[in-house]
Amino acid sequence: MKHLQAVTACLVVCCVCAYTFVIPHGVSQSPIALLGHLAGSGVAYAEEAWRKEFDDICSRTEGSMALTKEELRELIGRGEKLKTVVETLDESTKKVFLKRLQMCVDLYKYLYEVKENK
Amino acid sequence: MKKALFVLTLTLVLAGLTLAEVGVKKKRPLPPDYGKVIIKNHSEAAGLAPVAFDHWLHRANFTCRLCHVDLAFAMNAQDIDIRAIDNMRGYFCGTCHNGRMIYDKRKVFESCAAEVTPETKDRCERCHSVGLEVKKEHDFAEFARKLPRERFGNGIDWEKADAEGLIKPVDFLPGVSVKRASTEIQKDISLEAKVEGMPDIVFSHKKHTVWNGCELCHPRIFIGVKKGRTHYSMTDISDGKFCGVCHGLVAFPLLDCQRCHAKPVGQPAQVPPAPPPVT
Repeated sequence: MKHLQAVTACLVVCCVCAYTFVIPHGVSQSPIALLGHLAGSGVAYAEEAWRKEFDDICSRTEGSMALTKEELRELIGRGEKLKTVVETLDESTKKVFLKRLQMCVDLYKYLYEVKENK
Repeated sequence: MKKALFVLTLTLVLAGLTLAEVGVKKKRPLPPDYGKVIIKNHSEAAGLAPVAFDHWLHRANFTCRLCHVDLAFAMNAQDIDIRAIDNMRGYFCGTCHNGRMIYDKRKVFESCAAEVTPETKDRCERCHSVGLEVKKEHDFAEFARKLPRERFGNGIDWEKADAEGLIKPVDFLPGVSVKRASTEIQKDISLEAKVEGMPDIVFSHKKHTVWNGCELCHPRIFIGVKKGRTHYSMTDISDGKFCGVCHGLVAFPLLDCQRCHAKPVGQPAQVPPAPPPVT
């Protein structure tokens, strides 16, 4: 019971610290996401992970005409999955990256349809 | 009686002329104002004048893709949802306007502040300048003098300026842009003109992808997945759809017919080369 109280107290302290120190630097507004970030290898790593995935997905747009239907489907799936992560970020980051991600995913969906119609 | 009738007629004629000038006829913007965007979605609430954004100044230095894809700027003023906090966090205008970035040997001024104070007021009003007497740092006439001329829009042939290396729009910002593989250039598309005698349209994918990339146009502006399925009309384009999203607002205007209707009349349709014989 004492352990449970200690863990709860730790979590509360973590949340308060996160809201005080992390949010002004634009990482996340969701406490669950924050805990997720903090539970990883630090905030920077967590940020790096989603950004790396974003860069990887969106780096294929220019050569996307040459992608196969299978590759397009995979990129669409990864993009949709990443959206749920981006949605937990701070308002400004979310606004920018959701739009950017949507543009990539929409292009892949469009090309998938083009290939379907060929 | 005759005098009263004369006065009435004269009043009606003058009123008609006045309305014809301001109420019916669409005025062509002056070259420096072509492409100017007034952004006012959050300005009033912040107690500031709307933002006057000069496209000519920015398009001379950056590709359309960089701002509208990598920085996520919406393509029309109504959809632009930028708050001071976004800029201060280093997004949108704040990506470059952060007081640290050096461009062309000059520090790019910082955009936005937490509140408008006597110290920050001048900085705010560099952008929030609609209706204010703000001295511009860049002179359009001086800038345009060095570039190839065009009849409409800004009076600048941007395409030629780029081809001749007179402008070198940046397409990649480290830490912001995604490293992309080089674009696979799609073939030019020939579209049949609907009016007899009007040259057909030659749409150059190459010219458009240089500045725009793929995702700026597909599928948001051009959704058709099969050639011939989407019907383009000048009415729709004039209403700001399809080509009209850019042409008529920032890119050369629709008055410049032959820039798109470029295929000589009577020229036979180009037949793609036959595949090599199988041996």
